[in-house]
Amino acid sequence: MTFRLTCPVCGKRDVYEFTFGGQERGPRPEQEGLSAEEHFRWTQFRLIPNEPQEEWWYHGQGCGVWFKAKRDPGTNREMR
Amino acid sequence: MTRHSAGRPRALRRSPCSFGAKPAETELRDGWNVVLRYESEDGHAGREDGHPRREGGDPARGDGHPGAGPRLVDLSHRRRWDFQDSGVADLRPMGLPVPEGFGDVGVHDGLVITRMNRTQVAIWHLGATPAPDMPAESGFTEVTDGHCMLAFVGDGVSEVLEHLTALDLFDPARDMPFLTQGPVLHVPCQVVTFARDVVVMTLARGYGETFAEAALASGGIAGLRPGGERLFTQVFERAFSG
Repeated sequence: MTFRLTCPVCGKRDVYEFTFGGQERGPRPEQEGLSAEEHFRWTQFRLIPNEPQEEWWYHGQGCGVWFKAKRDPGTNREMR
Repeated sequence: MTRHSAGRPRALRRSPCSFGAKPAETELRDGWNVVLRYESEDGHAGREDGHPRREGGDPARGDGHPGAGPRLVDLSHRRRWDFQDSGVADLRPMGLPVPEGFGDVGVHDGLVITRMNRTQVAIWHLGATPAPDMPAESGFTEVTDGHCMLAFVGDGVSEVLEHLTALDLFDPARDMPFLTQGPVLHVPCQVVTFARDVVVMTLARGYGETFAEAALASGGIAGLRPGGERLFTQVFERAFSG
């Protein structure tokens, strides 16, 4: 299983040059008034959508940049 | 310069890699013991292990003279700097113009400047003239002692590198010289392709010894063997002087 990702600095590269950084979850919720359950949900819960999602990737074998990419987990295709 | 008890100069700095070949000529420079030429460069045909080797041109002569082929040159002693600034595109570090695009490279009087990303450039001293001192301004870091720097020189370099990496280091869509940041022998490297027969890369110092060993073993299939600094300087100056 392999596919290519587009690094904003280096261009298209083999996915094995990258490290997956997880789904984009949006900003951390405000601490004030945050319940334990809300905090737990934000830090631990992940959606498993069968549709394209935004993800963080790290180009560790290349330029070392963190960036967001949109990928369809069902097909492993990077979306534009 | 530090001298030991016999009064002779002593190398204080140690290259991160060795080639297992016998130097024919060395020079002590800035505390480094620099190999200018190896014995195996003196018209000896065949690989270090005695196997027959493919024919290639003499890199220094550049005339396709048979009997030399691709060489691996240790340039770890060459001075290198990292320069970072949020507005790097508008600055002139060490007086050099910053290349506009990511991966673009400029060569100016023996100094090479590569644009790594939005905020960072690398500057390498590869010319024959003495290296300049690091400017006092903020943003500079001297990284010479943190990296291993190796050059692949001569005919057949592209064939050698095909054994070492899946990266396209000779992409015809890009204008030479250009920078590629990616894995060679699974080690993250900064690679500058200067010409079809000159490729220089840096990698973290700790990988140096095993990287050089693996490169010579894998590249040996295509005739790769050790070369001294003089060979690189001749080829580089020929390509970029004037």
